Amino acid sequence: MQGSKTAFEELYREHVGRVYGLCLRMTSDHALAEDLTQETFVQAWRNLPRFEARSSFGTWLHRIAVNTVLGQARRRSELLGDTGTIEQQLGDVLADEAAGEPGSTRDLEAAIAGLPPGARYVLVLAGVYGYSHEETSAMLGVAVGTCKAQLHRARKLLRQRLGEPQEQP
Amino acid sequence: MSPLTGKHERRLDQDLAGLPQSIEPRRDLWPGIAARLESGRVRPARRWAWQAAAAVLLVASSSIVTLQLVKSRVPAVADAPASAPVPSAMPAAFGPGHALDPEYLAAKEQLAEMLAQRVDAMPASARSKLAANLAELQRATAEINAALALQPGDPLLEELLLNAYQAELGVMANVNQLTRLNGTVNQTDSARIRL
Amino acid sequence: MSLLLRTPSPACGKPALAGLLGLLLFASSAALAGTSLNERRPAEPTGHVEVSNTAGTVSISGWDRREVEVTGELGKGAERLEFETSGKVTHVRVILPKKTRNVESSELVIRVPAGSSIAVNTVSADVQVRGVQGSQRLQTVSANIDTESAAEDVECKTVSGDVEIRGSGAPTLLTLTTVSGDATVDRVAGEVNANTVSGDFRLDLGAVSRSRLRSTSGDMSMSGQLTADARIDVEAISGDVRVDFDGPVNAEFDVSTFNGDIRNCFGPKPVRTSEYAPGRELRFREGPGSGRVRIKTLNGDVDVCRR
Repeated sequence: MQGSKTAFEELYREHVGRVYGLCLRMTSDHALAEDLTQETFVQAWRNLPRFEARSSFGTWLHRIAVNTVLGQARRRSELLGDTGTIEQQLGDVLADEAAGEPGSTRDLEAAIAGLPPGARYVLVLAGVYGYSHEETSAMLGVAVGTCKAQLHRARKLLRQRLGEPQEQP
Repeated sequence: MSPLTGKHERRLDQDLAGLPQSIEPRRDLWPGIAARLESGRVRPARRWAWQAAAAVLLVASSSIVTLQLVKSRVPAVADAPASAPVPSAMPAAFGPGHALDPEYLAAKEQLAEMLAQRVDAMPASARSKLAANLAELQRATAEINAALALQPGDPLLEELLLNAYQAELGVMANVNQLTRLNGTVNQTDSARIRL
Repeated sequence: MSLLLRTPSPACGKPALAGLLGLLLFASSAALAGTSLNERRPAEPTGHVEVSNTAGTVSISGWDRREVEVTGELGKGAERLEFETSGKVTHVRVILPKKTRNVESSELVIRVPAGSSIAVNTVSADVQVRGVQGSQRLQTVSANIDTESAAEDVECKTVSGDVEIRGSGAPTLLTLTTVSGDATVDRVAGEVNANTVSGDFRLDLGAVSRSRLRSTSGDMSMSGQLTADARIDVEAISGDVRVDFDGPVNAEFDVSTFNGDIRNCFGPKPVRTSEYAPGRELRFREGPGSGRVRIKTLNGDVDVCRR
């Protein structure tokens, strides 16, 4: 058993950055993203025999990560009952981080963090990680049409937020 | 609000694509993961040889990879009960933490071994379609399992999962039967036809 | 999607023979081609005929003689044709050498007593059946099946071959299983069970009393008239499901999906299963409700309509 865990740790080291990057950008919350990253790898370990080498391991991990993010988002909105409040809370976290470092990249990250969840998820998967509309919609469990509409909306919102002083709408 | 030109959109897309995809967490998450991989693990009565995780990736990406995975006695995901208790009151009847029926697993392994021998004689296009479809079935069960992890006990999901497992077994049994042809028709098969 | 008996694929590594195999079913030049076939055996009018051929074509038609006739062409390299009768069963088998890698195509044209039941097994040989009134069991790996059913059971199984079935409208039992092959069924009534992983199935049925449809990612569309005691049970993981009813609808409906959409042409609208979880369901009764229509999907959309 030990040998296989060591092997899995190698996989973890190689892929954790991309998994955490995805979780962080989708949730805009460091601590939450850490939890979800751990959950993702635990699920991956359990489902490893079902991994078929036809897709890349990284993509497979991302699928698990997206499911994990969506699951916690549902539970969270159930608990707090108000997605608007969460959105604002989440949007502030990365924006605060960016406060001390002017630069277009930080502005962009902060702008992404401020997007509403649906638009943000699609933008992160398609715009940052380069998944196709089909892949993105499959990972999020939405129709391709919905995905495209959300992406359009996300881009529009981003351009607004980047082109104007940062303000909560 | 004036419509933006394509130039601005492309610039935004480039900026997005240029963001770093990999971000290192602030701390090492591995110890927390490792702890959850081993705690509460009950040895199943039936011992399976465990294949190293890295070896799974190294399997040549041939079209028979799913058959090899089954054939080489990698334990089904369900052999490992949940290492962390699910927060809800009842353990999920299905989902990533459940235990599959040992008879089901035995039947599946047997079929996989038979199939692996016959698959070579199949026309290449059918062989690759078979592998793709078995992978499709595994994706379907993985997807339902993932949904069940988030919605434990959902009756629709449980029913779909059960049928997906049965479909997997059924496909393997059917293909075994269909590839048994060697210039002869099996006598048992013909006995079922009304004479 | 219409199927014609497609040109058999040429055997590997024999270009000259490949050209010939694309031609007529009957042997032309015996010197280059395989062995031409022309044999007959007496057979029971409601006997059973078993046919197996690895590659090429199998074409079966019913006639009014009490004989089984085999014509066509045995592929070069085939060991022999086994054509024998034992009791009520007639066997027609293309025997290939044990270790053959290059499988030669054999074209079998078989006429059987119309009342016969048949069982056909091929790997890549397309199968066509006409005018056979007994039960049929047709199995291939990658070949297409094209058959007409009368009033007896029909079972078709393929891995990747497509299936086309035309019925007579008389009630029967049809069992269809493919892994990736598509299927088109017209004018079959009675009990229809279909199972696929990724094939697309279009079933235009008559009066349907039982139907169990299963798919992983293939799309399923079924139309027909529900009998009073109809039991329709459809499950798809990611395939879309479409059910169109002809005539009066008398059934209890139980439709649910986890991620898909439900569109209902008649009756109430679907509702969310839970406020916090994905999932939609549609439960209602139409008419006295003596029938049952159950449709479950994970991601597939469901359309229920009346036409």
